[in-house]
Amino acid sequence: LRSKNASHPKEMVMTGRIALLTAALTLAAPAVAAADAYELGFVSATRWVTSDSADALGEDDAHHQLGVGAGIRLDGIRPFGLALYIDAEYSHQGMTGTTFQRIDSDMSMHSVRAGARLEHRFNDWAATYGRFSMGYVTANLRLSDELSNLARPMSDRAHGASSAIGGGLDLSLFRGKRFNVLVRTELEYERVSGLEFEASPQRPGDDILTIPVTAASLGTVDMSGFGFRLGIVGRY
Amino acid sequence: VRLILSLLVPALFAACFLEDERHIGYERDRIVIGPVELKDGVAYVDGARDRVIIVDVTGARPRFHTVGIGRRAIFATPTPDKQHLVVITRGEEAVVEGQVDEEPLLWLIDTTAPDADPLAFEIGSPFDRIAMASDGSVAVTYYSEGGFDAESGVFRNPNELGIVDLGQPPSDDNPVVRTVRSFGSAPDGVVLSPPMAVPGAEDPTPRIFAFILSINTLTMLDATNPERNEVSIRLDGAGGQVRPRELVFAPNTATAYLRSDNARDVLAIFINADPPSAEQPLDNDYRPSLAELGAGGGPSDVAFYDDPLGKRFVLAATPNTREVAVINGDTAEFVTIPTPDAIDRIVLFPNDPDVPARQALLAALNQRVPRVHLLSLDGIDDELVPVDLRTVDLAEPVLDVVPVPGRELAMIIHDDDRTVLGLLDVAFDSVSPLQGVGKLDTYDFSAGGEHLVGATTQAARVGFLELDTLHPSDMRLDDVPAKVFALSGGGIYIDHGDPFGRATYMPHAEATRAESFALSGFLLAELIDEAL
Repeated sequence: LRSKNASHPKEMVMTGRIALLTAALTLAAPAVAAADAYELGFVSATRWVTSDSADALGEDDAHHQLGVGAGIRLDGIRPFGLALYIDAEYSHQGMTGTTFQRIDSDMSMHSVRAGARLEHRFNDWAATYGRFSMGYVTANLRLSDELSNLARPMSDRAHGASSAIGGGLDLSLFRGKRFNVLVRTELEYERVSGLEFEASPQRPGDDILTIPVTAASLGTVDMSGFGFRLGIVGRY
Repeated sequence: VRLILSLLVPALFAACFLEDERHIGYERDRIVIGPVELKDGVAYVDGARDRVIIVDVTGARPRFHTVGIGRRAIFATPTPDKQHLVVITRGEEAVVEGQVDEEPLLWLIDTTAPDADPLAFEIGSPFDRIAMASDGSVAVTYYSEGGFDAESGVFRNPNELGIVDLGQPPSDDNPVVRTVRSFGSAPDGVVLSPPMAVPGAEDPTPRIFAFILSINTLTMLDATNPERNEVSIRLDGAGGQVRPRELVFAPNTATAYLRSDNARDVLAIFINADPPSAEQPLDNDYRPSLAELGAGGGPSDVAFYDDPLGKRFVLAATPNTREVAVINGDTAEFVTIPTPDAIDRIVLFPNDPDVPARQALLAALNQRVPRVHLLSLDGIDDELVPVDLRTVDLAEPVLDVVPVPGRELAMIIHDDDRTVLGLLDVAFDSVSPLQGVGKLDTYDFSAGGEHLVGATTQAARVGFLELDTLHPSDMRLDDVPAKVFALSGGGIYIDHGDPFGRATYMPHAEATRAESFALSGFLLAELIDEAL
């Protein structure tokens, strides 16, 4: 996956691979667990990233995130008498901003993470849970200066690790015999580390020979922060 | 439901307060000053991030260093030895949260030791220009004509100066900020002399004199003793405005020669000892004496040299009379040499102030004629020696003449686009025409004078001309060049004008692409890591 001069088509290919992997895990799940213990969900989240390093790239602290996830209940294990789910999620987060009136930044972040969730059910309509997950993050950063015709955009890809802890509520919207639909609200804190970027120039063309580039380090961006997540989950 | 609300509502409420204010500094305008050529690299000043970025080429690979300075950098210049960078920052008035009050400062940065803390001198006023002594010991800060800081202040005093002793640390007495006497005009510029000892003075120490150029007035100031009184010299234009334009110095005799617009002659300023008054502690120990050297027709260019016997001569070109005056600097006697053209440019060869000049190249740039003239200076004041003035005919009009360092060669520029050049060998009166593929937007001569390095912004190439053989060569670049520097260590630095920082460094003039380095993004180095 490591490519200093990654272009967006390659990024889309990787995103597709991750989505396929998530879907495959979900489809495989019914084969190993009991019925009515599987879930598929879509989540929309707002994450507040307040680090100084993120301030260097954009003025807004709040960033929007979209994700898709799947989970399975492990019926044989009930720690503290609670239901245990393991889950996996793919999410995408975008971030744009302007610094010093003219440096435009555009960062897209993809993450895949897996974890466990302990759920306490109050009744058929409401449950609360706590969750912990860990995963992998890749981010593409592009810097440009549209006011200068001599500025060549910089782009780089970085990889890092993420870990998250959170808690939330599930409220049933619809309950059927074989299928339930839940609204999931969650507050989480995600720590993202290791996203280090270099100021690598975009190549003039794939087949043009260039002089070896010594790129300056831009530094490491800390995308950690609290997030509020709202999702729709289907259970079957 | 109550449990749900008791958890969810506080969580949403808390989320509303998670917004953290971004530092106001990220809203600054980004102005990059540079590149500024240094001895072993180049420097840039990032006015938004308040730092100097030094590209250091002393190692096997170029390295980047950053040095923090104050707010709102406005002007940067290297010291003459190119080992230090001097920067003026105008400071900031704290208006909104996140801003910090800061006074205008002059920064002295040792670019050979970028890890050392720079010296910051409080200059009191937000000046925007620096005049530097040729030995780098003294700097004078002043206002340019349009240099008023529109963002702060009510009044501006254009006659105020800051005199900074760069060899001493900042203190209450360093710098000295003072206002020079004015007769209604504001300074056009400040010129500092090389160190000059005042002949016969009790204090034999060579010192720097600052000359402040204003319309109808030349003001002298002992910049080594800046608390002492200034001396004003009124320039009489017989009713017209006399605007001082050019000063050349003869440091061994403590003499300055002034050329002014609307003045008929060159003004020689001899600095003589004059014991100070015991009652006036700020009195000077010198007095300037003046002599009008008879150029006789409104000089447009002056040059001086010492002959092998140490006799001082001043050459003044007077296009109005189509003459060149050769003036004995000691006696003010002069001879005038008629020239076929209205000469307005004089270049001496050898072009080295420490070597007696033997020939003067005379050009009529405003007249745009296809010829230049060579005047032999040997025995120029001897009536028995006939004047040796030779005309070198060229194919194209002459627009500019540039001496090649360390060689008896002059580059002749023939057109506005600098596509047609010639190389004049002064020793043989020969001219080699050169054809450029585009406008020569930037050029430099290598330190030893072996190569002419040039580039045009129309083509992603850098060109070399080997001056011994006039063999041209070039190297393809990945981007169009904006500025080339032939560094003293032999390396070639090509800046591409990118506000993010992009340059190509060739370790030597014959380096190949594989041996060269493309430097990227150094003006954004640690943008993310180093918060404001």
